[in-house]
Amino acid sequence: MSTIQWLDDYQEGLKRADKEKRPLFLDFFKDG
Amino acid sequence: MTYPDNQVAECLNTHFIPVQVDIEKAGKLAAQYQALWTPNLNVISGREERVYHIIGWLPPSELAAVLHLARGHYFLSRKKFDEAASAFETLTDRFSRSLAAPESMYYTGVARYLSSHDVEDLKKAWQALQVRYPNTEWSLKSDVL
Repeated sequence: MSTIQWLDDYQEGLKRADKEKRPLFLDFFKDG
Repeated sequence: MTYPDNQVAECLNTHFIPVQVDIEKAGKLAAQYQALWTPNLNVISGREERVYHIIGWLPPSELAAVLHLARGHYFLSRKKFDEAASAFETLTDRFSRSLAAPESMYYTGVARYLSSHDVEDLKKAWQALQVRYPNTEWSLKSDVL
């Protein structure tokens, strides 16, 4: 089973999205 | 959310930068994206433009399809029309029974037209849409030609 390589930092994700020319997939979840 | 699925995981890892945030701790970020309900999935460019938005649960097969739709919209927003068309066509080819397939065919036509400036490319895609997915919102929208 593949594991998703989640980031938990939006700004870090945004930087990577811009640098790597990939879209950011932002998942707002509710714990519990 | 629908994550214990290889197809979804591989697509996210390969084609996206996946970020997960607890909505109750997200504060301004949740306000920025008007996130009131979960699941709440946002596809965002590096320039912070939201190009696709999904609210509510989807089964794995639908989410896997919709990720290709979101990629297509991402490429459209960056004016990479050939890449957009390819993403949309991948959805139609691999997920033809998906609820997202009609929209994908619609935007295939849009992307091909924006790339070629040839209205015949648009007509061809939209005629195929009307045959393959009649009585859908996207078939109706394409009926303008």
